Amino acid sequence: MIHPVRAVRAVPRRTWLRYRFVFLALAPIMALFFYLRVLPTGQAIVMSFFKWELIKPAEQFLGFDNYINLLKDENFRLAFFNTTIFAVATTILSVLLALLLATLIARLVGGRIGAGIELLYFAPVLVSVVPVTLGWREIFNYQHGILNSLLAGIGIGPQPWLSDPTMTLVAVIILSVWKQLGYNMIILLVGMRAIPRLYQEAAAVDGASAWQQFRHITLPLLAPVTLFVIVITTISSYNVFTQVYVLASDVQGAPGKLVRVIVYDIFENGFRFFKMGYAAAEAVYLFLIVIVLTIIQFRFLRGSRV
Amino acid sequence: MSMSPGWKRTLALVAVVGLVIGACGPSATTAPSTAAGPSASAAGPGGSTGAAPSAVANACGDAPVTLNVWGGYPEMDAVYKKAGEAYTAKHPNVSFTIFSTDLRGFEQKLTTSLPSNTAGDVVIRTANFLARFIDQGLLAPVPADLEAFIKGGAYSETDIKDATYKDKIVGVPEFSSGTALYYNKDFLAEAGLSGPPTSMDQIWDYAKKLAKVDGSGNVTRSGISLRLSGQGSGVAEKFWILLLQSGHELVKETAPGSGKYAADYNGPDGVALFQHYVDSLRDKIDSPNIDHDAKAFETKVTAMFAREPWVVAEIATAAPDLVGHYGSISLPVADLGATETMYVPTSAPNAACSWDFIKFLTEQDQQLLIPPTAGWLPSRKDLDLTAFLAANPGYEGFLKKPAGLKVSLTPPIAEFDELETKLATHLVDAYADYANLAGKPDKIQALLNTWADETNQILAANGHGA
Repeated sequence: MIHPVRAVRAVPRRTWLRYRFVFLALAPIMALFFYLRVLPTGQAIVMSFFKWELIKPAEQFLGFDNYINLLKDENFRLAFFNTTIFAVATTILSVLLALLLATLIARLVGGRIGAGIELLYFAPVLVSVVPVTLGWREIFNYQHGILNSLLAGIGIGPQPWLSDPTMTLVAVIILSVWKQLGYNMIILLVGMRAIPRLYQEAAAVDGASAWQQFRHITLPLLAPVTLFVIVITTISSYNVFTQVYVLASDVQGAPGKLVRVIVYDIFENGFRFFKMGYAAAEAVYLFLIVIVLTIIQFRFLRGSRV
Repeated sequence: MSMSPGWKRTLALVAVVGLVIGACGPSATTAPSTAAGPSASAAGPGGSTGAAPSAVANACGDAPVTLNVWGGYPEMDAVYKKAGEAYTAKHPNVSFTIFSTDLRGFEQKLTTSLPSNTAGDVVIRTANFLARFIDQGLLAPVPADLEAFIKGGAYSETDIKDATYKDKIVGVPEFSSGTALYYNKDFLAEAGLSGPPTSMDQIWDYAKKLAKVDGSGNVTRSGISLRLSGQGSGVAEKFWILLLQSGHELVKETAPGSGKYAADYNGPDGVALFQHYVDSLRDKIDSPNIDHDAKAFETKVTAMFAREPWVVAEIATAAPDLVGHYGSISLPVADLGATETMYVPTSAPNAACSWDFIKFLTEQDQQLLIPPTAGWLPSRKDLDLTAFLAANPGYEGFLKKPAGLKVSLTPPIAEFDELETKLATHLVDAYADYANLAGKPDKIQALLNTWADETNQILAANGHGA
């Protein structure tokens, strides 16, 4: 086991001096990162131990009461369940589909056509979530949505995408996979193109099939990039909010069932019910969930690397 | 030169922790015109234009002043803009910026801006919502002359009560709301129904006769558009409005003036009302899959629905072909009143000028601008709206109330929104599960009791439990 402090101490003075420009260049952004990200996170952890209303800070020290009450809170449990289903489905689907697309583009399409296809898939990443979600709300419309019309074309009856609790979750997953796919695909494609062709050519000479080349050369060499894509997708999936908020917002005229996710629940507790301490405890749970999952992913994928 | 593997691992670990902390932090990237206006002929207590008393001659001084007016109803922007122009004509050094967004977004903006002293100079919302901020001294007390004016007969008892918190008038009424039942005259005639329903039994009976289902069994027109989904507390509020018709509230004060409340929706009348909802879905009188609310009424996807007066103005612009083919009628027994009241934050830099503008908004001429411009009804009761109603019969349900109609108000307790929102969440889930609940009063009773327990716990946690 390597001790980080001892490891830092072991770095020779001349190495520190050689890299001082790097540290100096990083200092402003690290200071900003500390002020804008680390400090608020620390404050949230402190708040989580108090009865802390938005306009009445630090009213009463509660110890772990907020954490214990959250475990009994039906809304939090539902939000945790929905978010986990969403995150798992979105990560698996968007990474697998991106891998498939990246492989097809890398192997079969090149030049301007390839670039055009890449742009097409990447376009959703460039568009703001709110207008995109409003567009998808029309696509999911039960009565006149395109999706139900397409389903009718293959003999499937209309689906209540926005009113049935399960279908609404499926709808949010579809929308999010569509939005995330292009980003994942580009990152994986860059990773694939960085693999020297020499390996595949050598394997081909040895008689390896396309699948064998992909399985034993591309996938292992792509593992660090795949790990990055999985971690980023998992983190962003656990932080899902805008899609569910917009899909169910202003639904007085249109059918729309809100999918309760953790960030929505935090938002509701903090900014609607004014219970900032309670919401902060929920945010700490989310933080722990994401960090644990990230560590698991690192260990698992590192272990599987060749 | 190369770094040791241990050093690399340490740096990688720091980077990953940083990445996760960053990701869990706040994201930086995610990101009527009605046919005729009301007559301004009424003489109010303040003179021919009903001017509010004690208008200060030069409350805004001579230096340039910009007043920011904040509200949660975008349709009211035009009213404030016109009033601002009229005020600027009298006080050339005063200019205005009008800000509004959807109601929930506005509430969230107030929630963060009032404590940080960055809210507008005039903010408009209900006393109930602002109770917490009043408790914290973030909103200035109403000046004595305005308070005397409000009590002086220009406003109804209901509006005064709704602007009162802890026995004190805390805001100045601007416009008021209520609910009426909108009905499509053509659909009623088509079903052989001679006039609008006048009792709850008749409403349910009419709904059954007015619903339409296609050959595949899909509802194509609901008999009545019930509020089945949506964020926030709206679903529970609509349930409450119908519950009021049987004499019950969502929460009821255990003894008048006691300040202690208990859930009141889980009795037999609450069960019966809930049963009407789920039975209507089972019997295809309404459907969760079709459009609802004003949109459904304007596109003729529903025959009836209950809503506030703004819909009349919206129909005039969004569905002009419907004008003359629909009517509105008061709910049979009771209504839920709500008064949007005006406040000046304690931190407002031009408080005297802000209050002077509020006084200006209470003048009869300004109040009379509200119905034709925004569709809402002015809070002042001493206005003659006869000609306006004649030209805009869609307002009948709001301006012609039956004698003895009871008007309920939101209880003056800060946690009401939380308990109402949580009830709304339960209702939405239960409506989606209508197939398992329709025709099962025991199951419904058990559900309502569970929700009532939660309501009572929230009341108790806030010191208002019975």
